[in-house]
Amino acid sequence: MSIIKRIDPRRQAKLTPAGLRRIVLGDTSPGDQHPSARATGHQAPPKPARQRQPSKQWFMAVVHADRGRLDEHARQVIAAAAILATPDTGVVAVILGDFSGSAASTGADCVVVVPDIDRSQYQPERAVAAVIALIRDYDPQHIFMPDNGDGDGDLGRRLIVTLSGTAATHVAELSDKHVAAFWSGGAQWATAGLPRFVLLEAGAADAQLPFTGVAEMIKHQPPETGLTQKAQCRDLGLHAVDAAHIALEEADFIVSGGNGVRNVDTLEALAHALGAAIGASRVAVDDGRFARNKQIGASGKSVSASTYIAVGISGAVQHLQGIKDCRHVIAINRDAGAPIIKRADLTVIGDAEDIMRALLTALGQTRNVTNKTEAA
Amino acid sequence: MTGTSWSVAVLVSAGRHPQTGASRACRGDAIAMALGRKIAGDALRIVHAGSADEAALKDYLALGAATLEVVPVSSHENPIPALVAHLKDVDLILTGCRTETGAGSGLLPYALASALDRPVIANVLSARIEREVMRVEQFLPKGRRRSIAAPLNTVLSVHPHAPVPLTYAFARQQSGRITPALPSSRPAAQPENLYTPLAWSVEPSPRRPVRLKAEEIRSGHDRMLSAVAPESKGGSVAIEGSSVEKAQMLLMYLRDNRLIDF
Repeated sequence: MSIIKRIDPRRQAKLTPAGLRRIVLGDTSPGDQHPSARATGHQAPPKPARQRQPSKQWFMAVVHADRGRLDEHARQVIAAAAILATPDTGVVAVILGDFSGSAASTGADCVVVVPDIDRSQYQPERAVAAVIALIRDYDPQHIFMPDNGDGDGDLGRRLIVTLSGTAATHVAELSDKHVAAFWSGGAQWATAGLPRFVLLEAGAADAQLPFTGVAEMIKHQPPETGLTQKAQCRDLGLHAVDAAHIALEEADFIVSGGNGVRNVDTLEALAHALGAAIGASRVAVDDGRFARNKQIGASGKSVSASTYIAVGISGAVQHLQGIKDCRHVIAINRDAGAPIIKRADLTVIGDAEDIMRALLTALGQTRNVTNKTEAA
Repeated sequence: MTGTSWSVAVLVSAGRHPQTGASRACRGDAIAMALGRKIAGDALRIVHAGSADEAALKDYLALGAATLEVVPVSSHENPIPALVAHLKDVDLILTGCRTETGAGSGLLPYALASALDRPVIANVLSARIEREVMRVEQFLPKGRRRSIAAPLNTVLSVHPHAPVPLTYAFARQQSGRITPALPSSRPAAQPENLYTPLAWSVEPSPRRPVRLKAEEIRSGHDRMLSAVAPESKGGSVAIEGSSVEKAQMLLMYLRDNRLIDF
């Protein structure tokens, strides 16, 4: 008898969407040979929870929520804490500001939401007091924060000097043993052991995790006792710079026009009504409809707006490269097969001019209603 | 603006050009100095903690400093105690956001403010003093600005985008003076709130940072599945309906995600 293992040619197999028959390795469940079961057969399996014992110690990630969600940088910071955590270490995510998203995918085991302290108000003493109270509660080994100019970097530095712990800022690389950062404007590379406070640059960790956290939600009311020290600075309010006057890279809301936009005036009116900056694709710029400094894409600018409305842009790879950091991409396009549809979170198929006009009318109506209710 | 009851000082450091490595005035500190001159005029005190022989200091003279006070601090010494002793009588202290040499952690204004027990405001674009109250404009990303009313005895770290002119004049570089600061009675004990320094080891050649990724142990079956599973995600697509309905749908999306506030 031969020792060569025989392979059964009729063993279990799955049909791919392309109709190819694929042998399933290591799968003992009855194969779904029926084409009707194909749709469910290719969905990603649910991710397992991060394996761990009851928490003996904690890692803490402190981030600000942005409009009820976490931005990419904040997710990376929580993911970094979850990746570095050993099985007996819990990850507590402190989210400052109103938060309504799901936190399990970030890898956090315990989520403390402090809705009172958000970015819209300047109250550093209160934020420091609230976070220090939580640090006292959990006594984390390491505290991870995003090093951004939007409140987290400021709060992190305040915590570092108040608690006088070891700290590393602008951290570009980290592991369970070390942190590394660029020094002298990128001319030097410095490494050190993992300190207590780690302020991470964007992109230092991957936010995609193969596991989930338990994400037990806790609402936290900041203690009023932390306010014994009277706030010395008074917030006089936020205001936005007119979108037409800021650099495209800095803009938070961009309406962008491509070859499908024939009437630039409508696009400009729409951008004005939404308080957005104007961008353009290469084709529209080459055509002379927009100025060169409005071009978004590989040979133009890379933007990181949280809302990007692409009107009449098919979405060439070079253009998609320029908008890869945008959070919500909305496409208005006539072609239902354009590549931008794969990137967009919402696509509206139709004539750009008609939809822009309808949107302008709808915006005018809502504005009127809001103004009337405010007046009443 | 001489004869005012308040005093303003700016901290400057030796900088280096990021590409060539040539020593120069630190860009951010030069901008902080220009903002200080806008507030206090010639009464602005310009302070450097370090060595008086630093070649980069001449640049600050050219950029408008008539005299530059140097507080002697060796390069591996913590400058905070010396600065606290030197600046404790100064009302308003300005700094740049981060230095161009060394760590550039941006922690100094915070540590200084904490040691002096004063408030600190970061990323300042402009500051105006009106009747013993300072009105500060703070830079925030995404085209937002915040106004803050602050007391005079505040530490401000100035954002590099602050709208101030930088004018270089060789004549001023020749006429300006670099003077050692008057020795002040140093506090015997170090201030309490000092962050603990890390033991950094510095390499001269930077490399590309390695991104922290979760280790994923996947079976052959999982890898096979991800190879055959469709990649693209794509959001919802509206094909049916009139343009008015589609516009309403778009507006709903913006409102659901709180992207517009009307």
